[in-house]
Amino acid sequence: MRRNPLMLVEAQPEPAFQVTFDGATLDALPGQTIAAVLWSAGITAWRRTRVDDRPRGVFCGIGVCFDCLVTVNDMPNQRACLLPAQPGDVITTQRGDGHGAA
Amino acid sequence: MARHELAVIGAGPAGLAAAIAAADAGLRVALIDGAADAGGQFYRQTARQLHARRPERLYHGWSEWESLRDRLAAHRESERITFLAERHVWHVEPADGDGFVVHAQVGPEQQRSESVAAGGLVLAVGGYERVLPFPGWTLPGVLTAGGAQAMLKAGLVLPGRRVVVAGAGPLLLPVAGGLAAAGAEVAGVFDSSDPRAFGRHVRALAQNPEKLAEGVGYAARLAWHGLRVRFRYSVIAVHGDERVEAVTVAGPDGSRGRRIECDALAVSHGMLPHTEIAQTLGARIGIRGAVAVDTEQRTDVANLWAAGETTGIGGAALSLVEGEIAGRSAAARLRGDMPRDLAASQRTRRRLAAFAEALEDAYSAPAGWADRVTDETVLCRCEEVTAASVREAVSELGATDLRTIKLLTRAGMGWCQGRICGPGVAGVAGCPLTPANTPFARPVPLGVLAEIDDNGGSE
Repeated sequence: MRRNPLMLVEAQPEPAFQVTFDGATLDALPGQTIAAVLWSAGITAWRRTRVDDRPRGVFCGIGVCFDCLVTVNDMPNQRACLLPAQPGDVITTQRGDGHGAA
Repeated sequence: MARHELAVIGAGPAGLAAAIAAADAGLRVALIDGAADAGGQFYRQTARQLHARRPERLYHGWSEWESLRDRLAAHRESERITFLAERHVWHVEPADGDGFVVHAQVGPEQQRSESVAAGGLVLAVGGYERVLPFPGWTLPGVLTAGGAQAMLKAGLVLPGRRVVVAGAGPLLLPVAGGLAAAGAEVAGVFDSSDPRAFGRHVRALAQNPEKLAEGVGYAARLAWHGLRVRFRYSVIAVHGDERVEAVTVAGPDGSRGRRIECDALAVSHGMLPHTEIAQTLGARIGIRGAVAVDTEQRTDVANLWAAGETTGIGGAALSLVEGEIAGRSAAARLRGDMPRDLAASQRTRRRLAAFAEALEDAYSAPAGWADRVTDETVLCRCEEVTAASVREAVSELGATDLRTIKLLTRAGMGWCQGRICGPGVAGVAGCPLTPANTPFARPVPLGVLAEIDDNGGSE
């Protein structure tokens, strides 16, 4: 089996829960941020930019750059790299500034 | 509003050391940090619910961390230190009379603000990574090396299966080693620096054998994974449509590029100090854009200390000793005493600072990087301002400084307030990198501002 970070540190995570991303159900581990949950599912982009409609995801990973903004439970502009995922979170790709149609 | 003798902003190595040293000397301290747990970026903790039984495998200096953690716990137990977690400081102002009022947004949602007053303040707010732009750097999958490490430590996740690590600086080694240990296939480690430059700093390097050993340890870990750093090589372009599919790496001659397939690029060209709060309070910014301090880590503002990366990039060991000096100085000065017995710590500080300066000088950004930035390349990621716009502002409109470029192009006007694009815009424009002076240390919802009452507190 391929090495992974959980194996490296011999993690015994609490039971996974479900969230959705653009309608698809994803498993999330308690304690992980929205960005970590999306990465675990192989998803690297969850925003389309305002001007050029380009994809964005994590860049700085520590809350400085605001590239990873995402809409969670209808609240736009959440930093995915900081916000812990909660059971039942409805995560959607943020289009533009997240307010209304882009 | 709670009032403490000392507030420390930032619970990384510098802030922890400062808070603990001040509490050891009897002060009542508020330690404020944005994360749920202390540690900062260097000791960023794995989320508790993930129950890592061998967390030390992701860290360097774990025993140092255990000592800090236990001393913090003891001081919290005795209520000398109040640890205010998940507080994102957005503004600090002088209090009526003396001291400071610190305003922080609470929790990950940051919809509410809280205030803390203190007689003295230690700024241990750290730094953030500098990434110089290149074609394709806005594609998902390109991220900072430190960001890759932070996501790995906190959430036990990887940015991709096959990762290239590139840029310049000492951070690339531990990041590449950590990613490889955690199961990523590291497709190459490229540092644009010329190793011969280290020869100019033999004295500073030789006086810091423990720092050299740290570097050797990182290199050995890389070698164990069959990797080594290719010096004088840099990533000159990233390819892909919706995400990273490959990068082009070029060597010293710059002409022939080699394409490497990968799904992530972790990149870093060194670090920059966070200085917004210090600037707001009127503290002097010195060389290399860092907060200027004296031998006791005092700024030129009364009762304001600064320690760690905010006073100059130098790594965790230097941050620890600076924090300790700041904490001990604050404990004495705030009670009208002279600090005693700082000499040994100050010697250690000087030695480690010389090492940091040698590294800063020896590691160098890719030569000619600004010329390789194509006109279409987006420099300001927030406002999507291209290199062409910035070049036009300089050549057609006569802009010669970052502020004018911002007003003409919007580069640096977005969410990050120019922290990310500043070095790139300055390099492409050929103007100096000057820190922006912003009243708030981070974006603040209007609702939070509206809540603040006249006493500086909030509902």
